[in-house]
Amino acid sequence: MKKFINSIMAGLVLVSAPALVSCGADYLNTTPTESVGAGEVIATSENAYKALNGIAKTMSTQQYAWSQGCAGENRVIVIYENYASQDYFYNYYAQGWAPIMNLQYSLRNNTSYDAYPWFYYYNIVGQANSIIAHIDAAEGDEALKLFDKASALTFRAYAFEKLLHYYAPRWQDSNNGSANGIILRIDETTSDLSQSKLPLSTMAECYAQIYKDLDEAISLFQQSGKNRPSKEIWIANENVAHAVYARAALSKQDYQTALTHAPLARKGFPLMSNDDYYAGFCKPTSEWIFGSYGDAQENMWYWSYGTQYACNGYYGNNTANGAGSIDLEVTNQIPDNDARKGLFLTPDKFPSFNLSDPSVADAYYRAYGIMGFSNDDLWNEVDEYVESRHKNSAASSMERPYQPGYYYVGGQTKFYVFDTPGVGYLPFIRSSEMVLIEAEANYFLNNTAAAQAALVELNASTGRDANYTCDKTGEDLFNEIVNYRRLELWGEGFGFSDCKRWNMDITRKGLTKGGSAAAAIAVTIKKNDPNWVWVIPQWETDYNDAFKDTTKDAK
Amino acid sequence: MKKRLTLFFASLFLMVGVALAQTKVSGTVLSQEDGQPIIGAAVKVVGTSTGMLTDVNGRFNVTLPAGKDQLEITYLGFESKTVKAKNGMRVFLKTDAAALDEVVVVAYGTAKKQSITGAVSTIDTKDISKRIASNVTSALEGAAPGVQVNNTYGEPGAEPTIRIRGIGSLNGSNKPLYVVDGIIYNGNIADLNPDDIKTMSVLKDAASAALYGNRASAGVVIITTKSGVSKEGNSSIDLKINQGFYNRGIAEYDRLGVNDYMETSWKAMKNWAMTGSLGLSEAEAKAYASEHLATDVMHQNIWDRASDQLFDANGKMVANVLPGYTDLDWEDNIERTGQRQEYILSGNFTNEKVNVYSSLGYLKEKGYVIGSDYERYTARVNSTFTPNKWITAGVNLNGTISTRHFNDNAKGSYYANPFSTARYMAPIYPIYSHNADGSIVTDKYGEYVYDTTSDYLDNRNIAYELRKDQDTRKRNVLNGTAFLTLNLPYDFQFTVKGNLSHRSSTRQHYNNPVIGDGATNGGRLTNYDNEYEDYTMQQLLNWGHDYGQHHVDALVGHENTHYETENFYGMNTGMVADGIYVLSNFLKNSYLNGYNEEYATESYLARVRYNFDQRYFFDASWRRDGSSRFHKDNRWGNFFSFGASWNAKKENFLRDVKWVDQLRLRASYGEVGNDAGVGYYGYQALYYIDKNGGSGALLKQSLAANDIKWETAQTVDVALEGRLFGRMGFSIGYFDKRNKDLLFAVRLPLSAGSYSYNEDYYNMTVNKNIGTIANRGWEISVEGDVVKSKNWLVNLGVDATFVKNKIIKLPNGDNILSGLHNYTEGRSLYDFYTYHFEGVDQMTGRSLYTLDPDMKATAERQGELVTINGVDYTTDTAYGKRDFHGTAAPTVYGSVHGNVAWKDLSLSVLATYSLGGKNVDYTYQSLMSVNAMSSGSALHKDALKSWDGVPAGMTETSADRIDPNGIPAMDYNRSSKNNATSDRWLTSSSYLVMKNISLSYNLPKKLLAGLNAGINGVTLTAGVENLFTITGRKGMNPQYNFTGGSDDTYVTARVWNFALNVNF
Repeated sequence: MKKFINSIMAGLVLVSAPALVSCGADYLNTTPTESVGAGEVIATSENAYKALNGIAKTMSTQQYAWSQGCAGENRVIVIYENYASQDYFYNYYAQGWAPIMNLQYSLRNNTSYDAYPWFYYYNIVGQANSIIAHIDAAEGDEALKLFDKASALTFRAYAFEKLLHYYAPRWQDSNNGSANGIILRIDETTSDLSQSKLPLSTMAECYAQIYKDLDEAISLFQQSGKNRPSKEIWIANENVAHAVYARAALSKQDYQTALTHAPLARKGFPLMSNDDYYAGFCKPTSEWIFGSYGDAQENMWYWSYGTQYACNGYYGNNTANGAGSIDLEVTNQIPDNDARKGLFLTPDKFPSFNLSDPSVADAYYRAYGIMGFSNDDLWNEVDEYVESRHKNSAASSMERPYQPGYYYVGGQTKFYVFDTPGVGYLPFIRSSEMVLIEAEANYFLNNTAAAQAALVELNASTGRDANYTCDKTGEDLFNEIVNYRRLELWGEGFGFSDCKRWNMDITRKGLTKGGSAAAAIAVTIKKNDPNWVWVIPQWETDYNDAFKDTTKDAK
Repeated sequence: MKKRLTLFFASLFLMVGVALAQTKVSGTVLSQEDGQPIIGAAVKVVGTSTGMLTDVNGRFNVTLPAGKDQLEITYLGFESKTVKAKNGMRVFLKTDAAALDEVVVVAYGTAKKQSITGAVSTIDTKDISKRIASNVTSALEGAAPGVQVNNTYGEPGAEPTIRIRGIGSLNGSNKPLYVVDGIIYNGNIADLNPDDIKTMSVLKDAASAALYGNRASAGVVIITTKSGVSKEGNSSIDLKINQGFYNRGIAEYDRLGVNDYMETSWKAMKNWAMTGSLGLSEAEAKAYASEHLATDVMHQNIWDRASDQLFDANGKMVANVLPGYTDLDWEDNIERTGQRQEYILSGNFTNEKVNVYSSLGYLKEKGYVIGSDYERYTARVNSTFTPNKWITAGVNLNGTISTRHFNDNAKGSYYANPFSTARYMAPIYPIYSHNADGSIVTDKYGEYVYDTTSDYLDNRNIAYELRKDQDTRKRNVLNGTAFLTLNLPYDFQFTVKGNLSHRSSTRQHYNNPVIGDGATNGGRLTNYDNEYEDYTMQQLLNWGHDYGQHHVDALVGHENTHYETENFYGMNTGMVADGIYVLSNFLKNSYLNGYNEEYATESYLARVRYNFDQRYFFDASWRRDGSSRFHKDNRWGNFFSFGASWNAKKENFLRDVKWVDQLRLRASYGEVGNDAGVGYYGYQALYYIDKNGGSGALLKQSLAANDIKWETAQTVDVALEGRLFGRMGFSIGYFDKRNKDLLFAVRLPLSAGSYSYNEDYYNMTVNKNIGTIANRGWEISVEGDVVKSKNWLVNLGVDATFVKNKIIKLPNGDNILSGLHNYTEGRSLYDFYTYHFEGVDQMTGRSLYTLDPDMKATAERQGELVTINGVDYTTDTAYGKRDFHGTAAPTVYGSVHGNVAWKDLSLSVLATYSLGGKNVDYTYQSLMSVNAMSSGSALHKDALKSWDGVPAGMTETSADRIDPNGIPAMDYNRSSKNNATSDRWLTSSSYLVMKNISLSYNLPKKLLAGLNAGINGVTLTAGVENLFTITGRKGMNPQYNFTGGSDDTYVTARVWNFALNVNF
């Protein structure tokens, strides 16, 4: 019996011992400090506003899995619009970048180039969807809730609208919108995998969704009676909603709608003065409707637009690359006294030098468009001009641009940074674009006088060319709109999409043939070339069952 | 009954014999080797439970019950002996290397090797001391079958990576769990001084590891540090001095010299001018290349002719390099012969109540690349106190202070990566600035001036940056473990163990203001401060009892661990004064950030072991684990194991078989968990806290995964082990390790959104438990004394592991694409999934790939379709078909080792090998490509064999129009397509590494005794680590990782070492 009791006792001790030393019930509940739970974020209108600011951050921050320069909107501006345009040259790297500049990568679905815009804009869409899905149930200030939702809808519409530029054909080629557009993902992504299966929608459906989102957004903005704090140009507000509406309508050739929204978009954002223009594009002016923030304390280092594409950015100031130049064929059609033309190192500023003279145009000129490499007199004149531009800029207290002395013909002093290596704001939507949309829409609606008036408003009323008048009609008027749009918005990310919408070939002339493009990119890309539409990337189709025939899976 | 029970317990606990007829016997136990007394040897009266330990003089007194006269004397590291008791007896014990294995450290205790039912490999201080390693885990390489070690020792202070029995987890940690002195170890292995280690046990199967339930699914390495008990005597002091040097252990890839390089590049440009947008004729293209190559592509002229006059009409170089350009070898400039020195002083002391081991170590290493070094101070005190028979208590304390200069950009394509920069540097670019006549520019002190302005260097100069920039990490580690064991009545033993480990790491990263990352901001300094704190509490209750020939023991326990980090980092820019590296010397703040992390686990555990007559062994264990990485509803997992082992030698039918010394069969099954497949907050849907425009910005970061639970590894393990003919040991084992409910970050389509700061994937991922992977294989090891005579001992051994990996189950049976792999049921996760290179079209010099039939129309429209003799091919992988081609997994890997001893001289050799399996040689791919036309980049020698025109007799319809081993034409325009990622770059990763050769000499004892200086032993050792590596391609590092990747980074170092070891 005793043995029995001993055994029972031993058993009891063995079993109960661990229970005596257990930890508390919440010992295993840990919470992060670098992040906050999703439940808390969209639970209040105040936190949801911070999530809106998160979307804005996405538009101007490093995306770690990608290569340098992939920091949101700046990448799209550079690679997909500027490089692939007829107006913007980056000659020093043209040989290496020619496949991108000549649209040769569009159909290669396994390249990161094909995937980036898709990745980036759906990153915005995904974050907007979460706000839209939960904000109605959130607590907090009712007006702010309405504003949050409206803004999220606007961000989503912005992203969808941009995606269509790259992954869908021209509206006029879409058979009235029945061609495939993009994926209309408007639900919140959860951990439910089956939910991620979603096919492409037609272009008509896509534009309908954009219109619907923006209609709702505009109505909510108005109901809320709220606007963003004026300095926060990176948060989408009602003006942005109208601007995106106008853009979408223009692309859809729905000119009347474009004409409705463009003027509303620029309400309260008057066109800027010449002084502002010459200050250098690095801080918002009166007409910046939408853009990104820049500051030394939120430095993107070598990933920012300004690092490589501002005249006093790191590259312009430390390398032979320059910082981009304008196609002389554009500036040749603009009067010399135009203030905007003054931002570029065009030959008219150096009349004593003939750039077709081999003694002036040496091998470096013929290969890259670099001026004065073996002609000190020319170099000195250009250098003096750059110096004078610098003195007028807002960054005049910083070191002057292009320190290594590589001056490209057509080289720019438009984009500046106010801290190194590339710190500055970047504009996404300006009132000037809206005026140009009005001009283009009016032109296609045959409102010739209104189109002319829009050009006069843009060019003369602002003083950019005080003597400007316009009495052109028909195709001449259209070409005038095209030329001023190229000049006004140069380097801001419109070149490719404009050309595509206008259904024009990209025609670049080489340096030895009177133009200013390096040999590798002095090509013509026909308007009917299939490469104008980027293919849906592998990183979508491999994981979206709507694109997969699983019976064809490799075994 | 009652009386007998009482007596029974009394005899057990009080360790006194039963008062019956008795005889008293005393004697001494000595070592046969040197006649020294053995302290702490166990003397047991056979057939009773009476016994005792020998004292400091090796003496014992024992009382024999009537009818009992046999004594069994055992001591760790010596062969056991059973002798007839005789008063005043002297018992000599023989040391036996094999006997050292007898008692091994297992989970939460020790076990006799023959009792173990699972797969455990042990290595001891002797094995460790042969190796020249600053990290103790390096010594595992080649030491045990089933253990793979990729030694990255090339970088001072870096740690090797280890895989035990292959990769079982898709996403989680495949790193084994480290346990130091019974406590799960989260610190760096580099913080441990290898000389402090007594043994390392590798628990390979789940049954052995089951008691470590959580995180043990990739195996466990149990490290036990030295104690004061030593066979050298009751007190001794040991001094070790190591001096060595080291250099690169693997040669560089073969690359083209100046003329070959320029001529090959000329062809690439000529072809570019013909195939690209210029569309020139061949003659025009040749002239174009001659005129433009140096200016447009190379941006360089180091020759005695003008840039457009370097070539003749057919692309032969006609210019000579100016004599001043003696500085074109970048590798030579940034590499050096590193040095290694180490000093270790250790001592031990033992008596009946106290034993203490303490040591001090100093290590200094200078890497083979400029700017990399490592300095480490270690100190340890291990002490155990036994004031009386009821209590044993101990404290182990160790501290480490280390300073490391390193380069965290020494990987990938970072500008600051010295390996890629030097490797891909075109042979025409000098390190220094040159004058027009070719001579090197000097400053006013006559020093060479680094070229910091040439645009082909992208305004960088790695040779300069390595010398000016600084990245320093200082680590302070304090680790303390204390335990108290109470010997309770009724055979109970209660142990409480606690561990507190604190590690602080500060890093200071300085970028100079002249060139590189700091140039644009007048120099910059980043400070990082990371604090790590672990604590573990353990309560263990042990019980054990012998019932005649039946032995039973049991254990229950509770354990909780808590891990916390505190981190902050900030950067200032704008250096004021030269040479001062503190934040105050940098004016402008860029950022200042900080965050904490926390992780906790709690566990309950139990084990029962039984054996009959040391002949049949059974054990079973259970563990319940909770992890803070999972949602509270799915947080707990239960893991169990059971095993059996049969000591056949104990059976009558084998007892008298002389040629069989030992033979045993063991089998086990067990389960262990893994939670490392997800981050610390793996189940939580989170938003990342960021800043935009100075205000709070929240970025959607992760999706909820409340249903995720423990990933589980299940292992079946069977083995036959034995020793034959008195000289040959063998072990043959089979294992089947299945990891189920794999934790995996399943990728969503890109349109489902993404998180900007995810470094690994473009796609948003969601954590899931998916599928099952099996690793099955055989482990075989054989070693034997080939020659065994009075003066000679020659021992040879070989081990081999054959593992097959197979994905058993995936969700819905769907494939999962992951880079170059496509996880598919029935296939290995090491299988490569990529495009197939068919060969080079001999008519055009273009690479041909297998066409994806669905893409035929697009390929044709893009001009990338070629039809040869009725078969369609594509010249662009974008329209190619991906399929399975080769695997990264070796068929077999293992080691060959040998020892030759002649008197006091001994030589040991260790080589490791791997056969079968492939690597993607990305470096070779880069060296065969001419992608960037904006500056030159080095080329591999094989580029000389590239296609150079249609071979004579070749026609459109020739049967051999496709050369499967061909090298496509060099062409700036087509290079990215011609050299696209495909199975063309898969290279055999078989290798043989001469891991270690060590020659040591023990000074004769007689000689030392004659000196009368109190010296017990002197050993001189000379050794070399990684003497050579044989691989499929010169330059390739086959051990970069386990999944067949490659990178431009450190390779193993060749280390030479000379050691002196003196024992007082």
